[in-house]
Amino acid sequence: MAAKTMTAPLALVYSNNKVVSLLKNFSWTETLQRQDVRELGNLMTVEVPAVSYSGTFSADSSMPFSLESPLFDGQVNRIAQNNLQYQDTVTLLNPSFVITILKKEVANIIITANGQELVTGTQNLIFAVITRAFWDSENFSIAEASVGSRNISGRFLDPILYVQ
Amino acid sequence: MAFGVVGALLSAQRKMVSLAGQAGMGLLSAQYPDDFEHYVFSLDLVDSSSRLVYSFVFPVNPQNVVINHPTLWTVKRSNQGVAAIGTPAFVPFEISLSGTFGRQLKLMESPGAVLNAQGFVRQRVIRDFDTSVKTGYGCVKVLEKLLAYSRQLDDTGNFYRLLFTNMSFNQQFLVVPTGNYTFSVSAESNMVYAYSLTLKAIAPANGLLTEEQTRKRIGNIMNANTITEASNILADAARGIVSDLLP
Repeated sequence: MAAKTMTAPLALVYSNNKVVSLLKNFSWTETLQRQDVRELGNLMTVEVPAVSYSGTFSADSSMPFSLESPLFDGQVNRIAQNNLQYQDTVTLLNPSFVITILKKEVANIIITANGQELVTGTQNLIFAVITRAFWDSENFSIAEASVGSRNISGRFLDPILYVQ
Repeated sequence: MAFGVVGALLSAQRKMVSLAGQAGMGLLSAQYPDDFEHYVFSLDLVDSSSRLVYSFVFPVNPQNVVINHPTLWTVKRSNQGVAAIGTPAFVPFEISLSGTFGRQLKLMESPGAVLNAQGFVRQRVIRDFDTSVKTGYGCVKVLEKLLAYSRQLDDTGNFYRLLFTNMSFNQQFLVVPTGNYTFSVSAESNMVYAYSLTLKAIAPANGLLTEEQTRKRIGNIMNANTITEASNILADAARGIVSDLLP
């Protein structure tokens, strides 16, 4: 099962055990920065110890459409009453959020009378969890003949671990 | 004529490749030290009787070496002309080294004492992890101890001495750490210590050691270098074993 191509992924954002956003596109990048240890008299690099880790993500969503609803729980609340409230939220709370990526799996399958398989039930299993994520930028766009979309990008502090 | 020159060059090149292939660049350099360099650096601590206390063969060569010779002549202008004052005596000069030892385990074989929490001692203490295996950080600590010991007195009340060997420039000198020496680590090179030190060469090492002592010392340095180079591969495996033992 694990070797199957991931054809039906879902990137749902959970907060307080409920889905707050459904993402259209989602991508992440993890980077390990390494230092070259070189020496005189040797063409080759002796070793490359890792010196820092960083993770970034970007996400596109066409829903929820309302600008009042944050794409991720913990994002800046745009229904702040004034500039000071906005600043205080950013500086005092600086909240992080969790992104949970699900995969769709067959939950139930039956053999029909003509001998063919028929999926009668599916389930969403957790594929990966990204914790301590922070947003860096948010973009909103609306164009003729298309739905409005919101994109955000940010970073996360913990390495992504697959849930077995 | 041109063919003769090219032929001589090719012949020399064949001889060099043959010797290097048979004996290695180390022995080629030992046999012809002013013709072939070998990139090995060593800092040896000896007592006032020139007995070896600890030999530190750099497990990773420095990334930067600067040998700075001062001007030998002082020129004075007078009313009647110019006087140049020189000396045939040895003129001290500066050697600056900087680099890093990385992070992996290195095998540090010294024919002298071992370094542990008590300093350089002749006997191993049972609570030592392994005095012959050092991480990059451990190598920096050895370097720090060597520089600190060079300011201390031995059993006879005389100063320990530091001998610096630079086989890549065929130099062996008695040195003292005169400039600031720094050990640095930063977020950009996280958990990888770098060193930078300036030594002043105050006398040729052959003035302190007998020919036999010099030959033995160079032999030890070459052996240690060979072991260190081979051990860099083994250290990766050793690191895995150490990791497995940790809870």
